[in-house]
Amino acid sequence: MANSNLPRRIIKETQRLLSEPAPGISASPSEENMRYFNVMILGPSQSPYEGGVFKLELFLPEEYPMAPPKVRFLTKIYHPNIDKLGRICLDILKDKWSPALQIRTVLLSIQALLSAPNPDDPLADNVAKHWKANEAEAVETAKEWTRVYASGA
Amino acid sequence: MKYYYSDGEESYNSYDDDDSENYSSSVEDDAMDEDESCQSDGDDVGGDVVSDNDDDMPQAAERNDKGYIFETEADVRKRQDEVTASVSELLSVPWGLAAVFLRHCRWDAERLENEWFADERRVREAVGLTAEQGDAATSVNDRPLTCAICFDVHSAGEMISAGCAHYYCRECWGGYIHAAVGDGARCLVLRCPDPSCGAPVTRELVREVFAAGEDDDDDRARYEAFVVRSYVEEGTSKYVRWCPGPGCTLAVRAEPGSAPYEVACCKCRHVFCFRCGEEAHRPASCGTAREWVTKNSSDGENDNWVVANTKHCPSCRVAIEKNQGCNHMTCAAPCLHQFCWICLGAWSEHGGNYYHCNRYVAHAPENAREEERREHAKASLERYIHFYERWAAHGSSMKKAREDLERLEGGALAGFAEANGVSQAELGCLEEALALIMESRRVLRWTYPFVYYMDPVRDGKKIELCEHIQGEAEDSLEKLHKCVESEWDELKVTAAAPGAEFDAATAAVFAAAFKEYMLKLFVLNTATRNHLKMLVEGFESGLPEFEGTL
Ligand SMILES: [Zn+2]
Ligand SMILES: [Zn+2]
Ligand SMILES: [Zn+2]
Ligand SMILES: [Zn+2]
Ligand SMILES: [Zn+2]
Ligand SMILES: [Zn+2]
Repeated sequence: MANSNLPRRIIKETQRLLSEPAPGISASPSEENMRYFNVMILGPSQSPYEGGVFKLELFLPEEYPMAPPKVRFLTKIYHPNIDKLGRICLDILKDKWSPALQIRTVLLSIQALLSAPNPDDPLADNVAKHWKANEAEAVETAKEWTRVYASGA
Repeated sequence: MKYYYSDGEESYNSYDDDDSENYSSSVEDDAMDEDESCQSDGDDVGGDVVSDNDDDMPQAAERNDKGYIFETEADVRKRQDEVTASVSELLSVPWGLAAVFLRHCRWDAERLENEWFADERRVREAVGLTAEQGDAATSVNDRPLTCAICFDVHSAGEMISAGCAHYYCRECWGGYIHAAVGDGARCLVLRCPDPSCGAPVTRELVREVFAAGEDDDDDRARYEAFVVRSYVEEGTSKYVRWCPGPGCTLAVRAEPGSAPYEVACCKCRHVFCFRCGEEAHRPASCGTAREWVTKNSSDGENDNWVVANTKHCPSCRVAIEKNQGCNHMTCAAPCLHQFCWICLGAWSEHGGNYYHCNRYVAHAPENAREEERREHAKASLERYIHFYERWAAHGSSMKKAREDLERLEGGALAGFAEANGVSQAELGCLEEALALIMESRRVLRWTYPFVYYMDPVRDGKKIELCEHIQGEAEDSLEKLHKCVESEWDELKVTAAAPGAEFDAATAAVFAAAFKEYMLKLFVLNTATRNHLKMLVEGFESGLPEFEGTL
């Protein structure tokens, strides 16, 4: 069984994610693999993603928590720090990772990234260019994508 | 085993070229004599060459004739620990923190003292320490706590912090440091795992964490290796660097103010530039050497290598593999055509007193304007290949000579001496010749990049002179190399086989041939040494009388 050797930390984190979910975020482990989480994040209000429901996958590698979780958007999203494969440019998922952080902190950070896109540290180059050249228009595109791809289908 | 260009106080002019790097030299003379004072790896030589305080330098006598000394990793570590201990005492901080502060100041104790006494707080903040934390490098929990990494509760004394208020269990610390060590030098700037806390993870903490388990030996050793590397590689002191010889673990320390132009490692024999770490590249400057090496790798190393190593006999077209150091090639029977490996010209044209295969002749288009000619000559791949081939060929001949020398020293010479009733001292000339060949090859090798980066139009006259000196030196060197390789083999034919009877007639024939050979070798050695001296002086003086003239 893939789940038999689950460290206590992962079990505790999972219990807490289920019993006290963070507002606008849900994360539940897959039944076959307790290291694989299905995640949903609601687009924050006052953001171009408001009204959208974004699906993500989160995986805890063998080295977790010494290595960061791997997270990826499954829902298409128009955002300067998220590329078309759903990969996310976020420092705590890379060099700023610390084992004192948790799944919850990671998901809250991703939610915050939706509220505050940062085109100066882009992952999706053309989106970031668009954002810097004409923010209003880029925001419109992001809203449009939210309607088309993230309206809870 | 001396083979320097001159025996006295002679030192080379400091070299002044495009990037105006100046070398103080004067370190050549006893470079190879290091063998006597240098001990094998692991021996503690600290005692006799390193005195107690850190800014000490070699003793005066040593300073004058060498300018640099060798240290094992243990020596370096010892000096590092000494400076750490003295700073720890002076600033009244734990040694773990002293090391963190020192690294921040690039291991320059004096700079740290100045910064510390000018503004202690700034130094602390720069490494992530807050006023509240105080001066602890580690502390342990005084009551049961939950570890924020494994979420388990641990009783008092079982958890440890980087001196701050964030306690984790030893196992989690172990994993944390293990992950950082696995990433490389990052482990030296590791902070407390709490994202809001900047407390540095010190060597003291690492030692405590790994004190218990033997499994952790690897991590601890790797961490300590990064610590000592930081001292050498990040240290201000431009005066310490590792020997770049493959697999070599010695460090070389120069006296301040002198960056020796060339250092010959006493252990692995690699000869390198102390300034840039590249193979010794005199007379080319560090800048030229760097540019050249970069160019070679960016232009497709493999193609160059193929060009430089695949040739056909110009007479019968059979593929020729060069397995000797000498560039005088003789095709296999029945062809026996003699030619030059470099330019494939007939060897008969190379003899005499002018070796003219080093000269690049640009085939510029007829009646091109001067500007175009200049561009053409500079940019042409053909020109580059010309220089690259010669640079590479000297390199492989140098390697060959080195292997030959190692074989001779490894017993071949002693065996020969014994079988033929000659003293090994008499054969010293042969070792001297090989060492001289190695050095000449190396210097000549780097004259090619030197000339390559000259402007073929503006510096035309100068290039002509350079190539003349270069040609003379190569001519003499090729004769010497041939004498050491094939003529030595011929001599060996007349010699006694090991263990065989040596009758009187054979002995007499051998004695005469031996005497003649040794005389020839002596003459060629002298000539080559003189040419090498002229070559270095000519190139390093920058040939000022030809500056910009045409
Ligand atoms: Zn723990
Ligand atoms: Zn802390
Ligand atoms: Zn070495
Ligand atoms: Zn150099
Ligand atoms: Zn042939
Ligand atoms: Zn030639």
